[in-house]
Amino acid sequence: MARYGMVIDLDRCTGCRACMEACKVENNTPEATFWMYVFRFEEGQFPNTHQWYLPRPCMHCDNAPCVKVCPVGARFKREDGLVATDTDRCIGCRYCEVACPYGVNYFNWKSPKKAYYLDWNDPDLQPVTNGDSPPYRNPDLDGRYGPEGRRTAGGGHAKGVIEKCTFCVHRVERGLKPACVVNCPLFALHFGDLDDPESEVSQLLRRKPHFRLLEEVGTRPRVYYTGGNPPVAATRQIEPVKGRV
Amino acid sequence: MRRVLTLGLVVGGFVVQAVSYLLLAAPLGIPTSEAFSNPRVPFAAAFFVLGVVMVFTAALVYELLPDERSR
Amino acid sequence: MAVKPLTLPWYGVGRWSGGWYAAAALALALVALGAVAYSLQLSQGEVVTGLRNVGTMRGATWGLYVAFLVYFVGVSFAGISTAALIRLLDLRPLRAVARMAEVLTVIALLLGALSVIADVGRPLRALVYLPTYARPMSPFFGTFTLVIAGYLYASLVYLYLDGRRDAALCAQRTSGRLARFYRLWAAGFRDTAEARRRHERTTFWLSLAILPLLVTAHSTLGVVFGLQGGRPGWHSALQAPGFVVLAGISGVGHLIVLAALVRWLLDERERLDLTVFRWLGNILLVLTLVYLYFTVVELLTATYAADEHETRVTMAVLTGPYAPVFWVSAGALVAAVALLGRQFLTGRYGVGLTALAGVLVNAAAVGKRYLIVVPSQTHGTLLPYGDGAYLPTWVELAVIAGLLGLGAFLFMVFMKVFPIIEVPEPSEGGR
Repeated sequence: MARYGMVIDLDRCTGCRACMEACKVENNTPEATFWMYVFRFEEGQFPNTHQWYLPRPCMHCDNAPCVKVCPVGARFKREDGLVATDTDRCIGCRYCEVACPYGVNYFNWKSPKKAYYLDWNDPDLQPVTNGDSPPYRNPDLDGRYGPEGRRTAGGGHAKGVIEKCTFCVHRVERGLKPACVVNCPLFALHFGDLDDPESEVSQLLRRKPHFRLLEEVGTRPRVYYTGGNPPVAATRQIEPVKGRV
Repeated sequence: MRRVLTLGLVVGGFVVQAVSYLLLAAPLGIPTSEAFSNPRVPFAAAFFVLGVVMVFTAALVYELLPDERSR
Repeated sequence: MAVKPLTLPWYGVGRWSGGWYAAAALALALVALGAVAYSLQLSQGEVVTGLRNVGTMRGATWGLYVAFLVYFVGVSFAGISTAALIRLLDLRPLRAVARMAEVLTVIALLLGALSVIADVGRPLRALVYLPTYARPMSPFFGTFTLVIAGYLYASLVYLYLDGRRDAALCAQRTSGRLARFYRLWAAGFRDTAEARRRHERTTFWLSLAILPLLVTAHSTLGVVFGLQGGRPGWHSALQAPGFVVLAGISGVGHLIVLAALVRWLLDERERLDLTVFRWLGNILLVLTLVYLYFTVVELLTATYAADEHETRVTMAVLTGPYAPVFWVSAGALVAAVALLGRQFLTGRYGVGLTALAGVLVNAAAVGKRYLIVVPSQTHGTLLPYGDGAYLPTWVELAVIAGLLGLGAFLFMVFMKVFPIIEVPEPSEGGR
């Protein structure tokens, strides 16, 4: 059984946020929902500032607090390490959201169809969209994945349920890598089997010193960072996200 | 008879609770697979509630059921 | 329904007045408002509330609904525990409030369950999937099974058994449909010494069984918050005990206010005399002092040595955007202690002042529940997302108002259908 993990090279990340965009297009996430998010940090006072960038997907923790607290088992840990959300079983209590130390969960406060950046159902846009909302709708998202056969790629997400980064389970099951990894122009994101000593991620972890975010909380995340340091008390975002629903 | 039924309900209720909590519902422990997020038997939680209800129904039985002697 | 003239007091049952109709209409208007707001929430989604995602959206995802869930379950605590303590410690002076306490518990638990339904994104799914799939590892398992299912049933059983005697008495004094209801409740009760003894024994063991269920149930609600390592301000061993104590405070406070209201409405100065309020007031004083002690210890720990994230939450509560709520709530608790303490020390008790203390501690309890739930989400993110904000919208306020109106209405209806005070034994010299 593979043991999937991600390694993010902070030395290479320039904060271009192409991974955020790729995730949005691949997973059709609605407004203000960032399954993959990239922090743009600043430390120090102008003009002596230091800027750096931190991509933050879901950590797919080995001791995931979100899995432990889900009252109905809609959030579960797959054997290959992915922490998946079954939107067909989610009751929308949002306990996983408050339990997650990393803030990676997104609740659908309204119907996702009403929350896209443009109203794709606008009659002027119909010739372009062919009635698809959004027009770049990915049919893979509705599929059932894994030996458990549950809809975990984000399909079935509707008003009143929660969702988060899936490590692009619909791609991983076909032997592909997640959209963010594949689209990074600087190859800063790496994905693979941590149990395979020859995989990219294992080699990187052997070669470079690395850390994981919020290790002291005990979540045992599967996302490793090399080439940098974790955020400290003085780290702040250059600009917080303005997007709200 | 009344006493037997009452005691039976109390003990049975706790047994049902323990069995549903430990054996029928989703296993406890750090989740490493889907098994930790599904009940071993569906409706295990409803059985647990049934166990609690049984324990307190014993009070109803004890007070409401007539004694054979007083008939 | 023909009501025969009585030798025993009727305690307002069957006496319909213009005042009752007006109050009931007001309560039902609130319920209607809440229903309208909730249907809006169902159709448009929870975007109509002020709740938003924690993290990049810098909001709070648990707000007024969860705060009131905890508050209602807290109020339900004192109801049955008062009734249980009366039985276990034979606190005869408090017998008059036992029924009120039991009804308060049942109604409060119902409102708590409805608050959960109001909060979840998929209420119908919740109703079906919780019994099917609920996982013991989730702290919500305890809330669902022990609190809302088990505790509610236990309280209904207690209320039922304790009311049989009065139901039998009421059945003798009326005819028609209501008489059938009373006879069903009485279930063949005969006021014999043997029946009395059996009832005493049953309620003794029932009280003994309910108390650990109570503590467990409230602790599971506390650990919903206390076990979350990812939420500074929540992750604390003191959450569960703090919940239990604050539950006692809000419950006893509520009971005092109810008792004062019933005393005024039914003019029951003899049954609900000063002794009742003296006892309840002193119990409330002790509980409030314990809770203030918990608060001081918590603040001391947080301000002396806490990591930067906990400090951020503490400062948001003490001096930041939540400061008004905190200081008003703390002030209300201290004022209540002052009122009750003065009564205790001077030995001069008053119903009005004790009831005022009850109102103050309940206002403080609502504020404190809000402070437990919200600041850790807006100001306690472990990754530097930035400080957030949460402001409830009219939808949330309307739903809560609707729930309070429903609770008031149910209590008022009960008062009209069943004696809210135990009909006294003939030997106790009832009027």
